[in-house]
Amino acid sequence: MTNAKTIVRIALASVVIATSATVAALSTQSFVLDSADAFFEGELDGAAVHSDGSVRAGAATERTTLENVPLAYSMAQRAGAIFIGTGTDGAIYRVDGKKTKVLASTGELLVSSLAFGRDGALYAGTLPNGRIYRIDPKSGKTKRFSAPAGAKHIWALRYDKRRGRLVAGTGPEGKLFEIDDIGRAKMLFDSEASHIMALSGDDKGTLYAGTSDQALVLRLTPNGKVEVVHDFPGNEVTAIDFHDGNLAVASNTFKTAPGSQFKARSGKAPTPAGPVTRPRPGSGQVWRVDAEGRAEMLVGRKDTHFTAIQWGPDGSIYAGGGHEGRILRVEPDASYSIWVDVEERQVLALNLRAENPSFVTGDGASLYRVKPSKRRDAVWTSKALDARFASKWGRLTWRGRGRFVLQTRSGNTKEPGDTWSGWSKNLKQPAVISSPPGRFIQVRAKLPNDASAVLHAVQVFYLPQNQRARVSNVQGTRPPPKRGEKPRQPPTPTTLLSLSWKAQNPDGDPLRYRIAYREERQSIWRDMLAEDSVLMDAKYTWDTGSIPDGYYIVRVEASDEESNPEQRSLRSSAMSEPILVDNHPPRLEALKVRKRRVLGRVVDALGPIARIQMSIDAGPWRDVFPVDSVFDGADERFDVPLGAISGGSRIIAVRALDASGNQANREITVKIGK
Amino acid sequence: MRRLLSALCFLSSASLLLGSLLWGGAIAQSTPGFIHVDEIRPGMKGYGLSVLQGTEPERFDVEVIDVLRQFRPNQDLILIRTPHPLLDRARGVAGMSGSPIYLDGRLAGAYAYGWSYGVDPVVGVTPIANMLAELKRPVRLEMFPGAKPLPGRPSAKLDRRRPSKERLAGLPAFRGEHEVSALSTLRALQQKKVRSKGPLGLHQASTPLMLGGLDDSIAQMIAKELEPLGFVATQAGTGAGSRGGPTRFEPGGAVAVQLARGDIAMTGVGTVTYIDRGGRTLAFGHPMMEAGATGLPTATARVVHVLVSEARSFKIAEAGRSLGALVQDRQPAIVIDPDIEAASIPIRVKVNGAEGAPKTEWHVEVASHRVLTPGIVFAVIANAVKSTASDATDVIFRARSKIGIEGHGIVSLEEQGFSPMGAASAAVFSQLRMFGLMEAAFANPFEVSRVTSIDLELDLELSREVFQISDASVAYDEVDPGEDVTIYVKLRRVDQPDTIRAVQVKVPEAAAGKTIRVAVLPGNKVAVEQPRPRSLGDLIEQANRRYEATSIVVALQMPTRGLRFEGHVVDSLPASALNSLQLVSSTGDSRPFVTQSRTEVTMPQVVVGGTNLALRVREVARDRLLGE
Repeated sequence: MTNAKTIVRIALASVVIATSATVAALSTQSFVLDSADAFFEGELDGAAVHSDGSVRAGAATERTTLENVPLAYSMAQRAGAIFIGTGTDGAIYRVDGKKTKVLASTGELLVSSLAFGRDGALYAGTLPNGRIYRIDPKSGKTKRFSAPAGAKHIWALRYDKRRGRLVAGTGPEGKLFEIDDIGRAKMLFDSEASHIMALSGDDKGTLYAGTSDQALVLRLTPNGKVEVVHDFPGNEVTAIDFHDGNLAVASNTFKTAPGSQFKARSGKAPTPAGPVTRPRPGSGQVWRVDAEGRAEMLVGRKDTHFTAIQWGPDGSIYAGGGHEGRILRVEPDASYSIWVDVEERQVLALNLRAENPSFVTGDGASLYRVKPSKRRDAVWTSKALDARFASKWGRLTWRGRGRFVLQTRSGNTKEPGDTWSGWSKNLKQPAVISSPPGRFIQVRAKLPNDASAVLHAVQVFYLPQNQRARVSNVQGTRPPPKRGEKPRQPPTPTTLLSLSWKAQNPDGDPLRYRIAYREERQSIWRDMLAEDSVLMDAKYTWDTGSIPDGYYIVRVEASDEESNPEQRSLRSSAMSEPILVDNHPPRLEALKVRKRRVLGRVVDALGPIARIQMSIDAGPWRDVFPVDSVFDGADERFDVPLGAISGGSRIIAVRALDASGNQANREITVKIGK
Repeated sequence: MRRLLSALCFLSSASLLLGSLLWGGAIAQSTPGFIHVDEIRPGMKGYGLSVLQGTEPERFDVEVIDVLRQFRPNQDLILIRTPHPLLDRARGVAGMSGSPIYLDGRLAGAYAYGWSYGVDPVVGVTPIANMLAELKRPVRLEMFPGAKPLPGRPSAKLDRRRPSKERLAGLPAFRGEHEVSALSTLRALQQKKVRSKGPLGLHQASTPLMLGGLDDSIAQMIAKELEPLGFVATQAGTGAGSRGGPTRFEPGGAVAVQLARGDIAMTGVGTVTYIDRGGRTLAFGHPMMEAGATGLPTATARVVHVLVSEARSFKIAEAGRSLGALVQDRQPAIVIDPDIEAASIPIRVKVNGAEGAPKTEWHVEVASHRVLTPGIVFAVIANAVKSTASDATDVIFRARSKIGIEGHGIVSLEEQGFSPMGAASAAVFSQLRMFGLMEAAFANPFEVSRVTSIDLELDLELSREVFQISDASVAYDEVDPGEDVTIYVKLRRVDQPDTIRAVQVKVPEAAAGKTIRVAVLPGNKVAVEQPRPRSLGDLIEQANRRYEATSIVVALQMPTRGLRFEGHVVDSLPASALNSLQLVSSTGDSRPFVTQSRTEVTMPQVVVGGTNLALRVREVARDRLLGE
């Protein structure tokens, strides 16, 4: 599934609209919610989102909250009563209709599995001591029944009719035990896995076991033979359900091996108190293995792992999620829907084929009983849609079948809260949104009491408030040496000056730039470009050949007029530091030789002089320093000895460069005395 | 204009007078024998009373310099000069705190503050009205567990209400999560207390803490710990022979607060200011630690000498007869109730194996105070061990401690260990779990409790007969998942050849394809994962849940995690269950840790050292690949 759930489309305005001189114009945008992922991101209250990108009425449920109980992990049902195994106080609850009571307390951390035995007693598998308790379902009388050797966790319990025994899937040694009527545990199978997480089977004595950390499903035949049904991707088969010859499998991948999230410190004992971390969900897959052993992946989700799975009475597979508290209903054709979305973080056990279809949740323990009818007041609410800027809302439109009622609300915070507007009045047909302007908007759709009603798409039009672009950092590419900076080598002289600038453009409107310049001491700005010359790039090459040498200031103005009507368009400008324009070479004056010394003067209109070199008789050029040794002005004198050269006629050549690379040359022929 | 100014001056004076009356001066003004601070004028002369030697108070002259208003919150200060041959040299004297100052024949207050490095005998006096106000506070025995009214003494005035939870405020509660030492609560209090000197070096005439029977290094340690609380520690005698001292308190008489007594003494010394008709006694004129309601044993005292010092002069004194309890430790004074016996903890330390040591058994009674006691007990035990066996050499020790914890009976602990620096070293004391238990008893968030007795017997053997883990190896470092692997642990012993101990461990199947770390450690160095405590009982139980120092523990770091809950530890969790048990809807319900698979081997001697190695685990076992 991709992360991009909401598609923002630039609505191309028709010529008619563009010429109608209304405010609505070129930058109108819209949120289009028409995909399964976009709908999945919203909240479901009795609504179901289907993988084909539609919203329909979902299952009606009735919630019973177990107060002050962190998680309900396991469940069983008999004679209309629902039994729930919980953590973190190891209690078992019994729910009869509206009546909920603590049936038994094991004193363990978690009741991880529940099953009824042939004697009518309720058996509770627990952790962390790997004990199984026998509980009278009426009186709640609790007795420690069995503790299979080496087991710390009893992940799954199942009464096997053919064997007439209770069967227990355990960890952390991955052993399968059968337990006789007086609690003696006999190992049926020692797997190579660490945990046998899930058990299922048929009435003929075939058992199926899902394992961790190898994500295998094993089959134990009545004669004790063990076969691998399928090696699933990932590292855990958390739940399985065998029904009518088919197997439903929840296979999960947890990216980081749990232990490796801690860095072991060599030579030191591990600290018992690690940091408290928010659990990250794994990714999950729902598989179907048919009677012929054909394994087929039906659903793969990266945003959640699956904690429970069960065939429904209607041939669909229901998979409880470990993130966002959702149950997926997977159809035989592999299409699926979010069938239920609850407030708790996890759905941990399903019992949907029972007399009272129900499921329980973790991270907030609740029992949900599924009602036979569809939910009548189902509502789908979008996530808060971010327009990025304060926006004026346009029309809300939708596509679907049935009499939907839609509402909107808006605000300026990411999470809807008290500062948001209230829900707007009901819209029974597409209309202009009445919610006040804001950056965020939410849409909710109330589904009609019509089982055939389906919502396919919702579109919200909006006009973001135009944002002003900000221009900064206007500069030419030949800045003069700064004070204290090592003088650079003079560049190759050119009249072309590359101008560049930065533009912060929050709303991404196309920008048009206008450039003007003025000599530093003048106040009149002169346009660099003709009005009909449209510059859209944040750079420009300026030919300075036609302007006098001097320091110039360049001003760049950005305007979003190209994508906004005149009254909405916004402008901003920025100026450069003074930029040196120096296209003329310095002058070499008073060049002469006196007393075997070469004297002269280099004068430039702007300066500074960057380099002076001298050559004798076309020999190599050597640098000459000015009299004060520092090239720091527009007027530099030099006075250098000729050195040990023999007398006679000599050609003395001198060349000088200014900071812009403009070069002047001059030669004199002199006669040197011996 | 002049009339206007006069009127303003009058209003100002009237306001001050009214303010003074409102904050309690009415008692002092209307009660004969007291002079109110508003009646005190510069130049007034009077006298003070204090014991300068022995037990009889002596008079010294005083002359008022002036009154400083609002010197402390709601408290003025009377500045006086104390012309006296001794005090001219000594200036402010620690231990004179509380000396009553009389002006115009009436009690004005208590000598209480001095200036560091002052050259004049100028001190500050806490007005009596502020001190008298402290007598109004109810005395609630519940605030200092273990204290009781003396038989036959009136106790009707005691407030027997249950203490509120708030009384634990200000100190971090021990949560069973953090490492503690004998001094941790003390340090927590030090950090909370701000005892900065004023800009001109003003200080209260601090409480001299007489340390008797302590080794120099231990005295320095305890001094360092207690000085931030307002004590000036100095070494003196234990006062064991002073039982014949004064039988009652009297104004100007010396008073001792006994933090420890017996073979070791720690005694805070000050002076009695005032005794009311019921015998309740005001002293010090400033707080001792400003601990509020507290319950510390008090006694009369004998002053041996006033030591004159450039830095800070102080009385050298020792405790006399035990009498009453300090029940209020407040800004203007301490309050002593003679009808209450404060709780104290009998400590016995017996050191065996120190041949020829002149004294091997030590008996000390320590004040029961949730902040002070752990530190003092630490000092007492360290002192007893050091005085008996100060050898800085190899020592093997066996400690048998019995800690009485109110509501939990006697808790017995036994531990062995080795120290290369002798018995009186941090290496030994850090291994004694009794200190952690003591902290738990005094500062746990579950119940009000305290330590009632301590009995420590320490068997010492000056020996180096220990096994040192010097190396660990395997035949091959790439192993199969599920394989039984032998770890060869090389053990070194002095003057003996190395021995190899083979320890077999099972490589977990879950480690397939991973590298696992194997730590080989002495048992007492292994941090065992403990459930989060739900009661003081849990904390006590956990103190005994550990491996012995006479064992080798080979620990495999498993590629799975576990969680700690209140009352439960669960390890080796599969990822989905770990995810489910780490609750988002509840704060701090679980604490994760890396699962360890441990194998313990018992040894005949203490084990030291430690090492670790890594094992690479194949994805698939070779025999499976080969189809065997």
